[in-house]
This record gives sequence, structure tokens and C-alpha cells, in this order.
Amino acid sequence: MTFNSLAFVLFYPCVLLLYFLLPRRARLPLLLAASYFFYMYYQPSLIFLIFGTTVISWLAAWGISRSHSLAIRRLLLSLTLIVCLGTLFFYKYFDFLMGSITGLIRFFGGTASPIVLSLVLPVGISFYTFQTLSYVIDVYRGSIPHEKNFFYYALFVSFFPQLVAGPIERPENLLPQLKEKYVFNKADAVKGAKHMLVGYFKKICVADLLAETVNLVYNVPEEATPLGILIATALFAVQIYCDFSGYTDIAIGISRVMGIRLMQNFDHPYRARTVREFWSRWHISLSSWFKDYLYIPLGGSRCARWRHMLNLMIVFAVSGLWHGASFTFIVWGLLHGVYQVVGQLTKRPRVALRARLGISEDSRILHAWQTACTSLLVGFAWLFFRANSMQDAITLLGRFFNGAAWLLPFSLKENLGLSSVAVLTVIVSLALLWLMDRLVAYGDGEDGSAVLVRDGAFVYIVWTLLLVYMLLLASDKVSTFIYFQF
Amino acid sequence: MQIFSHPVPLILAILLTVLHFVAPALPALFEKILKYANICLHIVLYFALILFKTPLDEVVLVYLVSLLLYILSALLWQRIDARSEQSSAKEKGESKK
Repeated sequence: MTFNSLAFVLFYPCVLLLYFLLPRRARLPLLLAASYFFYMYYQPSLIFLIFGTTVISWLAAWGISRSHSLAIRRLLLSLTLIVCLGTLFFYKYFDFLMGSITGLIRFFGGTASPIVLSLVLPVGISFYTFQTLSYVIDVYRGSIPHEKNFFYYALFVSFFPQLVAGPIERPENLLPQLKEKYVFNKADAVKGAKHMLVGYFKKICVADLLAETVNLVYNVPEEATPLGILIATALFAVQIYCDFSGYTDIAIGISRVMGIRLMQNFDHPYRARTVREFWSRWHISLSSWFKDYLYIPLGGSRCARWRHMLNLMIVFAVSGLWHGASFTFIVWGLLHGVYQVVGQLTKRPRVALRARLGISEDSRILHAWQTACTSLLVGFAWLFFRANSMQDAITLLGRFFNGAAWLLPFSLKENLGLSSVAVLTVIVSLALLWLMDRLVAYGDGEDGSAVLVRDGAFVYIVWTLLLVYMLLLASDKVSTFIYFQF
Repeated sequence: MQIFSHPVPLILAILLTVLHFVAPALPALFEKILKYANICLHIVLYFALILFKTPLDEVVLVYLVSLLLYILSALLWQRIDARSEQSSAKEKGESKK
């Protein structure tokens, strides 16, 4: 079930009620059962996959923690990596690899027909696989002890708020919290509810709203106009942020009400002044995962310069591939890698130029310029991310850079399907998003969100949001979150 | 844009906007009453919109505008409160001197 479905609206209050009413020792079985039920609601048969991954990784970690032989520990770690990544590869990348090999053979004049399995991609497989891997690797490194209670570990892997689209939690953060004896706390409940509301707002009122316009351009690239591509890509940048960070906000809020604090996954990414900074603000749980388990083991930046650049390219190519089995995602990842490499290589000349021109590092104009440039680069890469295929991406680029096409007549209604009401709605929703992003902080400290709950108005917001939410449900417009496909 | 040309939702929307901005200026009791009246009016408005089969996108726009006005009014009053607190603190400081 998705967070924006009627099933979840019924499911969550039931779980919450039982969570606080039942004795504390019943919470583990309750949350575990709820998490498995939540997953089975999508794909009942694939529950065995997540259960199998959990059992194998737990047994491997148990073996690693008990063994004193480095060879055995390495063997167990390697076996876990092979099994977990092999499963991920089999479900997610097999058809893509076969298709690519066949394409290559045909390119060189050979004849081949691809072997296509057409398997259903298990929801959230990339997320829970990375979570189990981080656990086994951390136990291998000795940075965390092995969790002796299998059921706590199973809950760590399958905890329903973050099971299908993250954040990719670390065992040292989530596992201890699952064991804590938590009593209901009003402050946590209010904070959690605020996060959920902001998340629902981002998803329903912004992401879903923009999706229609974006789809109109990206699903028919042959008819797209240059201005249409520009607007649709800019709107997609907002859409994907609201879709994914909206999901994360809801997940954080759901957990917070139960006293569990999930890690922050977004921190105003479009305020970043460099692409590097963008990645420290966007999908933080994945970026830090790649940093800790891939970038640093590869040598990070403490190696020869060429090797450092290569490491960056490898990490971003893998990051692209993690998002999906398609060349568009690989190109998207590689583009970010190239941005980082070019950024590193031109750092000194850029600093020297600024010094020569007498531009201060704290200059507001410089900050605005850097933010605009970063947004432009990130936005360009989003074109590949959103395009349905490489062919579509090339078509869109071809039409965008076609000088004559800029002279064609353009209409918001005809080219983007935006009526006057829709244009107004987009403007108002973007203004609201900007306000909410400024008001709601993610940490424990004071934030401006007190404004959102001034006096009894919180009730008003809850009711109206729920009302709109139900209206949208009634119109059969329930959509899934973009990151579910990963 | 049927909704913005019809007098009933238009009057209701203006009323709601006034309530958003005026309520915090009134004494506590009236403020509370007006706030709850505001909530009720919103619910009535949305149900009326559904009842008269107003296009969904227009209902969503009304909701968004209302939410934006609510936040803006809250921000405005927060700033006014902060200023009045500051000035009263200053006055207290001066009277002590």
C-alpha cells in the first residue's frame, strides 16, 4: 500500500492504536507483522525474497561475529554480497544486460534474440538490499555488534515507514531505537504529524499536480517545443523533489509519532552552490551509503588525482545504475560524475579568478550565481533521468537545440496542457512549497513551523488537507511515488 | 474558471480571507470563536463545492489559496506580535532606568 492510499489511511491508525495500547513486549511482533503486511499488500509472493535476504544476512553476520578467522569472515561477507547483490541483479538488471548484449551483437552485424525474463521488480529491493549490506559490512568491520535477536533485525530490514523508498537507515541509528521503551510523547506526535502533513502536501498538491504537465512533454517528445521542454524539465526538478522528499517526510513523520527518529534524507537541495553540495543535501542516506561503502573503500580522495577522479566517476555511474536498469540513469549518474570531476579540476582557477576580480566568498551575488549554475546543471541531468529512453532523451535534446523550433508558436494550454486554473494552482503551490520549506526544520531545534500550528488552526489544516486528500482519492488519481520503481 | 465568477463562493472566500487576517487581532475569546467559525466555513465551502460538482482542480486551487493566505496571515501576526513584545520590553527597560 502507498502512503497516499485509502488502505494506508485505515492501516496506520490501527497500527498506532495497537502500538500504544498493547504491552511494550508486544510492540516488536506488532511492528514486524505490520511491516510484513504492509509489504505483502504490494506483492504477497515476494515476501519470501525479503525474508530470505533477512535470514541469509543475519546468519552471515552471526558467523562473522563468532569467527576469529579472517578468511572465514571474508568468505561470509563475500557470500552475502554475492547473494544480496546477485538477487538485486537478477530481478533488476538481468533483462537490461541481456538487451544490451543483444543490441551490441546486432550493432556489429550479428543476429541474436534477447533472453527476456520480464520479472516483476520487487518493490523497495534496492533499499532493503543496501540496508542489509550496511549491517553485514558494519558487523564485519566491527563497528557494530551483531544483533542477537533475529526479530529485531528482521524489523530493522522491514520497518514499514522506510521499507519501500528509504531513507536507507543505518543499523546503529535504527536498531537501538526499535528496542527503546517509548511512551507516548505529545511533542513527538505533533512534530511527526507536521512532517506527515508537509509530506502529503508535497506529494498531493505539488508533485502529482506537476506530473501531468511533465508527462505531457516527456511522453510525446516528438511533439515537444523547446520552451515546453525547458518548462517541463524545470517542473520535473520540483516534481521529483516533492515526490521523493514528500515520501521521506511522511516516513519520518509516521516513525516520529511512534518515537522512532529516521535520518534526514533531504536538506533544501536546490539551495546548493555546487554539485558536490547538492549531493550532501539530496538523498543523503544513499549518498552517505555510497561514500562509506564504495567511495572510501575505493580510495576516496586520498590517492593520486587521476584515481580520485576515477573513483568519483565509478561512484556516480553506480549511483545512476542503482536508480534503474536503463542507459538514461547511467548517463544521469555519469553527468553528475563529470560535473564533480570538472568542478575539482577547475576549483583553483575559479578561486584565483574570484580573487582577481575582487569578489568576496560571502558575496550574495556570487551565492546566487553559484546556486543558479548548480540548478541549471542538475536540471540538465534531470532530462536524462526523466526521459523514457535514451532515444527520447536525444529527441528532446535535438528539439531543444533546434534554433528554428524556438520560433514556433507556443501555448501553455496546447503545449503543456496548462489551463489558467492550472497555471494559478502551480504558482500558488510553488509559493506554498517555498514557504513550508522555509518554515519546517527537520532537526529537534526550534523552527518556524510554530506558525503552521498557531492556536487551534492545526485542526483546520489537518481537516482541509484530509478533505482534499479524500477528494483526490475519489477522483481515482492515486499515484505511486517515483522512487518506488527503484 | 466557474468558481471565481460565481458570487456565493466568492463571498465565502472573501469572508474566509478576512477571518484569516482579522481573527488574531480580536480578544482571545472572539479570536477562538472566529477561528472555529473559519474551520466550519471551510468545511461548508468544500462540501458545497463538491455538491455543486465544481471541477476538482478549482477546488484544489481554492484550498491552496486559502492555505497560502492562512500561512501569510500567521506570519504577519507573528511579526506584529514579536514587534509589540520588543517595544513593550523596551518600554519596561526604559521605565526601570
